[in-house]
Amino acid sequence: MFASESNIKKRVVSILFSVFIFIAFVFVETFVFITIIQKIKNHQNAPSTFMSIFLSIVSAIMVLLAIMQARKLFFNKKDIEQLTIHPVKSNQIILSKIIMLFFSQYVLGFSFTFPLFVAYGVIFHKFASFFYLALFYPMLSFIFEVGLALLLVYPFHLCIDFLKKHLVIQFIVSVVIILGFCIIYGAALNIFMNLVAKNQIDQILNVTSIDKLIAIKKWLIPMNFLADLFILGQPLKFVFYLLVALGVFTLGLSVCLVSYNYFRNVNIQKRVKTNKVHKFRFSKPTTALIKKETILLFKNSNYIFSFTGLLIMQPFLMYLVISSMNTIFTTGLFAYYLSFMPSFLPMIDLLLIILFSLIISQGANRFLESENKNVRLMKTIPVRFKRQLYVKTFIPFMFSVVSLLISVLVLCISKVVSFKYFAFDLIISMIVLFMYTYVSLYEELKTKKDHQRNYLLSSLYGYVLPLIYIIVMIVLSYFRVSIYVLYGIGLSFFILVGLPFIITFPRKVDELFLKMEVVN
Amino acid sequence: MKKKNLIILLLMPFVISLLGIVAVNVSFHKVDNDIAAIEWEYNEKEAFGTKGRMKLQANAIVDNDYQVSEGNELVWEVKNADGATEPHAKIEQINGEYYLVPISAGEVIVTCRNQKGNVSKTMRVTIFDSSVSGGAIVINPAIRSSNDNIDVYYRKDEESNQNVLENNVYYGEYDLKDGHKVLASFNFNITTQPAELKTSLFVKAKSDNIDFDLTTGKVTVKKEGDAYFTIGCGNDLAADKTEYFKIVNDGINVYSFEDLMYCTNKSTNGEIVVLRKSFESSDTFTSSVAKKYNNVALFGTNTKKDDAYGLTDQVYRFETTYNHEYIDKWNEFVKTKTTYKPLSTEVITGLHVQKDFYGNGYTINFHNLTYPYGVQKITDEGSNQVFDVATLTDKNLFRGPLSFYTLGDPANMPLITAFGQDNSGMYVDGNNIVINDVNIKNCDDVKIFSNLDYVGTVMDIHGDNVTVKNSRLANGKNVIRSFSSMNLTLDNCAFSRSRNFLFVTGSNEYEKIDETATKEFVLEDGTNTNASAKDFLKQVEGNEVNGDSILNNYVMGEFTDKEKMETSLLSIQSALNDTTGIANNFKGETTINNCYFYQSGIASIALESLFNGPFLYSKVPSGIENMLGMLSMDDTPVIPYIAENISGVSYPVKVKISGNTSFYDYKNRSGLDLQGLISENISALANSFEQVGSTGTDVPKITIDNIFPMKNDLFEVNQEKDWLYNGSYINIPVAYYGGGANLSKVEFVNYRDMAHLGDAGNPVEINLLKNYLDLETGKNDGLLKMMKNLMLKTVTVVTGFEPFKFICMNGKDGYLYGKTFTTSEMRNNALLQGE
Repeated sequence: MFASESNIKKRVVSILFSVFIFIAFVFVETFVFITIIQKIKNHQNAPSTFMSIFLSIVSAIMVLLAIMQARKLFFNKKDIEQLTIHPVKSNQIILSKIIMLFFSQYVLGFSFTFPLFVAYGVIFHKFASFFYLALFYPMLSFIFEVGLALLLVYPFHLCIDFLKKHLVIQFIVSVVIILGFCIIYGAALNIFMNLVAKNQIDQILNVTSIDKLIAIKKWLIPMNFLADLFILGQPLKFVFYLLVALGVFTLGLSVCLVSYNYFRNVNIQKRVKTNKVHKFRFSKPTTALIKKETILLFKNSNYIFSFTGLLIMQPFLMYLVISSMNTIFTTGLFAYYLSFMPSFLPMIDLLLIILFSLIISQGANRFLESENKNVRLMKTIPVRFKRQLYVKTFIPFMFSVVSLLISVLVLCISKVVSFKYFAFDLIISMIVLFMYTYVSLYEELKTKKDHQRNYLLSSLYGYVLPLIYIIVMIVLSYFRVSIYVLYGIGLSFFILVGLPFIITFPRKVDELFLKMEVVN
Repeated sequence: MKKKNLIILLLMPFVISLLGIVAVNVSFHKVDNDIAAIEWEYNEKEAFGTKGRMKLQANAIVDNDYQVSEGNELVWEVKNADGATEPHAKIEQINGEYYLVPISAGEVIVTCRNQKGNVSKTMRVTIFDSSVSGGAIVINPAIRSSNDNIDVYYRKDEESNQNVLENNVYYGEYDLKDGHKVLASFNFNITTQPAELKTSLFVKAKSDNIDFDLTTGKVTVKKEGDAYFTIGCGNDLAADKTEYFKIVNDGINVYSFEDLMYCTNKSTNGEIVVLRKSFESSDTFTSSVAKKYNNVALFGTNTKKDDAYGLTDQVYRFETTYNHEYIDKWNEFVKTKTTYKPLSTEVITGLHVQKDFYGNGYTINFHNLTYPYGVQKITDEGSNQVFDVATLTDKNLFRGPLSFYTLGDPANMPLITAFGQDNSGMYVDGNNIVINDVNIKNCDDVKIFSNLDYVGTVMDIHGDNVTVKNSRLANGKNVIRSFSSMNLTLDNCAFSRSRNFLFVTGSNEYEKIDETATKEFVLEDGTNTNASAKDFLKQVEGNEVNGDSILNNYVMGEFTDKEKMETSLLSIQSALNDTTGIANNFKGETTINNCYFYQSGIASIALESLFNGPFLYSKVPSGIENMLGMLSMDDTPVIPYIAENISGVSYPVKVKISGNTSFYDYKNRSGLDLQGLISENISALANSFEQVGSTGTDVPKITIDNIFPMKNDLFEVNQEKDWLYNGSYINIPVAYYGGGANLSKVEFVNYRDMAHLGDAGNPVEINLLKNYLDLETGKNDGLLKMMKNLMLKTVTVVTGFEPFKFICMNGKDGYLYGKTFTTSEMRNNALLQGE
């Protein structure tokens, strides 16, 4: 019934870590906000317009988060199954869930928006009442945000369900969505680079474009009303906001009530599953394993969005981000700042290449976790554990390497990265990727039943070590150490830190696999 | 987690680039604005009987709704047009309204002006004796006149033997029809008071060179020359009325933008322009005021800002006549490094004028062409006022002057750019050209001078024996520029509101140093040595003592004896200033007679010479190149190219100032703004070091006044000599600008205000070098402070070490302070021209 002492400790550490990450995120958000506001504070109408739009973007994110959370709260089959056996009325269930939603949304909303209000208030010397009223902003924004989330949660749930049942459509839709996102991202980044990095910020902050932003703000109903109330002190806008927000909330609540009851009463009925008869085809174990892993990558919805789709888009995304970063660092004041470190740019490019390939490959590094109860089968089938595990890791690794190779080639061909560095970038990234893959597998093998996987080692290998390496190399660059020496250090460093692991892991793998606890 | 990581990665470019934005400069220097014009319903000529009184009504037009300064309230005045000693009418003010009260029959000139008198409008009113059933004939051109002529003259009336004041009205011999010249014709509206008299009118006389049809009021030109027609009235019910005008030989009447282009930019050899309309900005053209009249045309082919008003294909482009050695060398360099963009040597002008130009008092406003199309509303930190700050968009054709020299990548935040030739509104290109009675401005009035940074020069003159007279030129980075033009005459003109100078002159010609000739140099220890410039100023490594090592010690602050260092540096400058065959060999000469200089950002007149520092000659001190050469990104240097041997010694020019030429150009310390002189990012960069380098608060912020530290010295000298008005206002008629040898001369000939010039018109010297020598080395105060000082000193080795010179007004008694030129004074001057 009670968790063990070590579990409590781990949970506390985990919570503290999450809180730290969250605080860091809010800190960065606020820092960026302050930096921008400080730079545009003398532009008439720009700060208030920017603040309104910033708050509207936060609201949009809050709506998305609320939809996710509401789906978990309202359309969770296990939850419904458990509740149906208890004499609790639907209204009570919904009320309790909404209260739950309110608290989580308020805390989140408050954390995101209050620092912005404080920053804005301090910069523009607002009275104490401004700061006090800001406490109520997330409370009021909740009405609309959650109203909209409740309105959309069931259609969203249906869509997800539909896609889960139609794998081909799911794959196509996923790829199309990711492609669409990449195109929009690329276009937005291109415009942004032209305007900001190429010293054309005047074109963003001139009267015409600010008027356009104000025009855009007008359409951000009803959050613009709420923002105007808090930033510009226009009380009449509060009435407008309440009318719209309460309307949406009432509608959302009604739709959610109906769909929740429908889902609970009709859709939850257990259906008798008709067992499909599969034909058996004989193939060699390794071939069968490779086939199985490949199919898993392309048919599993989790993989498509977080791995396969991104893998396809990796060259495009990597090109966009790295070329933009190069533009930023070679123009304006940055060019002067960073010119004291001639190798800064290739090192940053290398870091970005590593990060991209790791983050995307991370989507497929739940090798055993994704098997769920099938791990039991893995233990019992007459195929060597090592072979099973190596196939499991090799397939996604191979796809990642192919994507990485294409990406780095694209960067070189498009002259974003010099061909002189092609081999170094590719080899170092591959080494880090390789290490990361096997450390991830090691972490999974070490994970005990009903325990969360500990990502410390993989994070260390995948993120911390490359980051330390790049920082040290940039410092060395200040002292005019040759770029080739820096790359040489990188190669040696990553091989050396990985070597002990490479040597010991094969010896431990059998033992770890055997010790691994499984669910019957 | 993984998705969040990806999102962070994708957001990174947006966030980081925002951190790199440079905040805008938020310190503005306001300009005292005057009204832009006066609007009224009256024709050029009106008539009024002796009975009763005539209510006078007019409105002030203010550009961009700016609040105008004191002295801009409208007032009315009247004077006799004929030579009668007794007034024919007077102005009465009753309950705040103005009335023209007739006294006796005759002709009067009624003027509405601002109190200052620099903006006015006039009409000619015939007072007729209404007590004897008399009347009057009124003749007005069908297309309204400007009502703003400066060019006036006395006509000797043979009948009365009196001098009668008349406007010099010009018509061209030709009109343009379907792109061809045809003999001109134009119409007059002929009315009578009372209206019934019209049936009794007849043509009494006319000159031989025109035909005149009374029914239609149409004049058809037969040939050039003075012209007139006289209309009489039967039974002598009204006095005869004669219309006088001049037909300009080969002149073309310009009524439209197409006509204007035909005569200027689209013409190989140019045509004589006779303006018959004003050419205005889109805002003015589409305003309700302009729509009421028929004498305003648009400068441009359409009113679309996004299409640059259709001007892209209409402007005239030519290769700069100024030194463009740097641009050529940069472009050669760029051929081997495609990552950098080449620079253009092309200058743009709104009007390419190659023949005489008759303005008839009309206005040409180049705002559509010159003014940045973007606007930012910025709050001034000092006054908390919001200003409209003009910003370039990608559609703008005028984008600032060409570069004479740039240290850094010209397209990517160069450290410093010294300017070459700027774009211009009007480019007068040719010999023996007369520009007469035209009101030109490069843009609408501005509230802050920094908005003039990109608008270019109002009039750029390139030719000999050019005369600009009876004209008003305003609103430019520089207002009028003349380089290598002999016998330029500026007569009875008003030059107003410039970012830098109102008149800037110099020569395009220069002589390069004789590299092999032996020169005398003074070493740091005070000993002399003889060497060629080529040898002495070459870059050296190690401990060899030569110009390079001396200059290295100077920029790095590695010296103890300032005087010896100064002597040594001046000997280097002296060697670079090889004036053999240059002194007194004037390549430009200007006579300024009865002209008015009003509101400059720095000084009224500038005599410019090339920057000629040792760094431009041979890239010495080498420490700068070594230091800046270290700045690189991934094998790509931030200072990709440093040009050498691009300058020389400018040939001098001479300026004669005479008559009633007046300098209405007082400014206080904040009003003297040097920011328009050069483009620099040294201050932004050096000041940002402070933000990133945690150097503490002891490192002072760099501003243009550190880079060109002449403001403090100028005020100090004026303070010492007790020339400042009220202890804080300075008036600088002439500045000798450029750190190389400046051998130009200013002469005052029959000049009214000699007594008001400080030191009898002799210039005071501002030795910038002393400031730099006094600069703390910063060696013991950290790298960043040392870098800052090095960057500042880099400016001197680029410009040269010669002192800047200034002729100042002795303004202690406030002579001309708070005053302006007046149009009535200009009209009086115009009368003197005929004598």
